[in-house]
Amino acid sequence: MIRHHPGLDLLTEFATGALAEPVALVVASHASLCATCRAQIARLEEVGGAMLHEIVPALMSHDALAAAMARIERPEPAPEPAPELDAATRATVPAPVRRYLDRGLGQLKWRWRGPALREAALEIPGAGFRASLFRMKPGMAAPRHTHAGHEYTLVLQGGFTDAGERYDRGDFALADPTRSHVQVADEDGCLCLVVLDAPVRIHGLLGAVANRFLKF
Amino acid sequence: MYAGPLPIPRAPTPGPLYAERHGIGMAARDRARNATVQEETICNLIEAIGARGDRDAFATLFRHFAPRLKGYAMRRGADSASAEEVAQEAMVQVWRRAATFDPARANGSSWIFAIARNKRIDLVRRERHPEIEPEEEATVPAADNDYDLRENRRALGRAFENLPADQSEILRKAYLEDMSHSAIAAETGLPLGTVKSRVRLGLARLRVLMAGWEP
Repeated sequence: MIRHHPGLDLLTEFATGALAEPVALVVASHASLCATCRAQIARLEEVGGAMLHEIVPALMSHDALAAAMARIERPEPAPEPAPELDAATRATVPAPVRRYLDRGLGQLKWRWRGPALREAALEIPGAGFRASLFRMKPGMAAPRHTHAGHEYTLVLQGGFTDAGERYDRGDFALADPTRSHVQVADEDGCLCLVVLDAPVRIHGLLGAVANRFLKF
Repeated sequence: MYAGPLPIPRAPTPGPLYAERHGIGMAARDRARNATVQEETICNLIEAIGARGDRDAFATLFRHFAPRLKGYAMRRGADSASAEEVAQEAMVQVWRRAATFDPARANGSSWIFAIARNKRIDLVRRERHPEIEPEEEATVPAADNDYDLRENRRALGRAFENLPADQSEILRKAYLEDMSHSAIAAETGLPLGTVKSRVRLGLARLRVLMAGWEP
């Protein structure tokens, strides 16, 4: 049961196409797991469909239709070969994120981010963003941190608690610059998709070390 | 709304369809009703492509949508040639994906809008718009059982005409120029909170918000 959803603002910006690719990825991944948000996004897209009818048409070149008729006769280009991913990865990672993986979860390059965290960066174009998978060790707390920008989180496996709220698979969390927070992983640990739009600042002793690694 | 002649005015199925499509000689209320008639036509055309590769159906859809999709791409600052490429590529995608179109899930024009939005992001912004891929065929949530696509399409057409100008202007920037709320705030000089509440109020008036989202 998914309890934490993106706000209407984010769903609207997804439907209109305003979100940068990494943030859109978090929303698309959540909606892949959440029928409610899928339905709301579909309704928001209805507005776009209605607007197409009242847009001022632009003049197409005289041979546009002929060109289109020729294009549809051509064979469809083969889709980019998708990497073979193991069953566990396919069961855990939603399809939109799998497109950015070239190997399974077990083979990813997990980097040390303090005793509680391991990070595998995702290669997503989008200047000013950092998209990664984060693993939290069972029962351990991510260091208390604040953000210069926003932190978009989607739980993929296990769960965590933040300020008394539980987050499980499919749950979405948005942390903004005003909030300093600590996530505590469940006994099974936790795997999350995390997108940041500005550097994170970790407090305390550990922060002095970890901030060096987390720089953009 | 009749916004000027199509560049290729001769449709393969002339007669009522052409007049219907353009709302020629119609009162506003009839135009709103016409939007639904038209929507059914659009769905039928997409299904004809999906079911049997109907080229006439594609040509009809192309004549109607390609100039609008080009206009849509130009709203994002694309020059004429790139905008035409967006329209071409989006229509080719309509052809290729027609078999996956499910009229129970979306109206034809919003399905085409989503394809054009993704193509515009791809070709104009050089990014990808990640697509939702349901993990399991989950049932429609209970909150959405009462939602009738066609009925709402009719209501949308009417509601658009009655939308207060400050709300419709911001919704147009959001949908046609894919501007984020903060970009709209920066351009208009309005506080971000005002932009968000106008978007929300406009969407509520268009009756596209599910239970729990209403302002």
